[in-house]
Amino acid sequence: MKLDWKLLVLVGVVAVAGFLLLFQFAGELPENISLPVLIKKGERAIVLPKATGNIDDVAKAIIREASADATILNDEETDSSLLNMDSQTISDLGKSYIENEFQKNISCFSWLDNDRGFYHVSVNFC
Amino acid sequence: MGFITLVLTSAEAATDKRIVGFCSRLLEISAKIEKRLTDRETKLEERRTERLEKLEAWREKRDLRREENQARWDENREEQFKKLEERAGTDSQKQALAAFKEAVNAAVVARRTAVETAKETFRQGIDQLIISRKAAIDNAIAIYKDAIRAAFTKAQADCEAGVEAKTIRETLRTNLKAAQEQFQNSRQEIEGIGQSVKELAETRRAAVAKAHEDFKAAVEKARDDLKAAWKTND
Repeated sequence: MKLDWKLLVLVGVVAVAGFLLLFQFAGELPENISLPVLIKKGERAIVLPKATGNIDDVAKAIIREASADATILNDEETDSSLLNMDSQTISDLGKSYIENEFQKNISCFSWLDNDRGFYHVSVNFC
Repeated sequence: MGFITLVLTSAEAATDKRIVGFCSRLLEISAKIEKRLTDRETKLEERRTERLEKLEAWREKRDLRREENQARWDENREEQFKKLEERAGTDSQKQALAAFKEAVNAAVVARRTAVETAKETFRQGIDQLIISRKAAIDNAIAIYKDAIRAAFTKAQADCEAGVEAKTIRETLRTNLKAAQEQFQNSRQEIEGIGQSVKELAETRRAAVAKAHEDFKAAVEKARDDLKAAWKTND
């Protein structure tokens, strides 16, 4: 049992140290890691073709530009993910009238409806 | 201030204290709902602003990356041409190489222009969807608010007319619920823009694919022409 605790402490220390190291090398962690940023990192890994002087190689090298460009162009479609960014807020707006709360607010009147001579009970009581 | 301004004469109030109690609470409830609506509309505007800022930032980043990459590819293409120049010994070979370079550069420009147009068309489509969606949502909100106002105005009128409190309450509750349901239905219809996005994306992809194919065909033709002129199989 004692050994388990030691092991847990050791794992914890290593995890914290690893996180701190990562944090130090990666710089400040972004609040939101957006998709284009991630793709950008991958995109920089493109290796340009070496010039050999061979006509076929030259043609292939030139054509490769289109494929590399297509990758970035496909990222355009991530814009559409922003379209529904306000959906939750709109949904909340539609719940500005909340039935339960409304019932709670006016339930006292039902009570008053049924009362027989207890008009003096304040509505604030409800 | 609520949606209604409650006006009750003292004579009416005296006739039925139950109605007065109910009607005095109406004002409080309507004010509460209106405040919540106002707060959420403010939040909605903030989200919209945030979306536009994010969209702009993403686009700028991508444009910058493309520009950087294009510059790198331009540089690489020049290196490829230089290597070929080293092999062009005769005037006719040099002439054929010049034609090759011209054809390739024209193909590059044509592809980039076509792709740029496709990209801009897609962006404009997305922008238009955002504008249409905003207008539709704003319209639904206006209808929703009007319906809430009408519900409270009706309740107020019923109060003044001396309608039984229970009936006023039930009518108000039903009307508010109907307003809410109508808004939620409208919202769901508006949210269903997935098909429009899909169409825009497909159009963009098709245009980019065509530009790619045209580019490839043009470069391969230039390559074949150069090989024929240089009488080489490499």
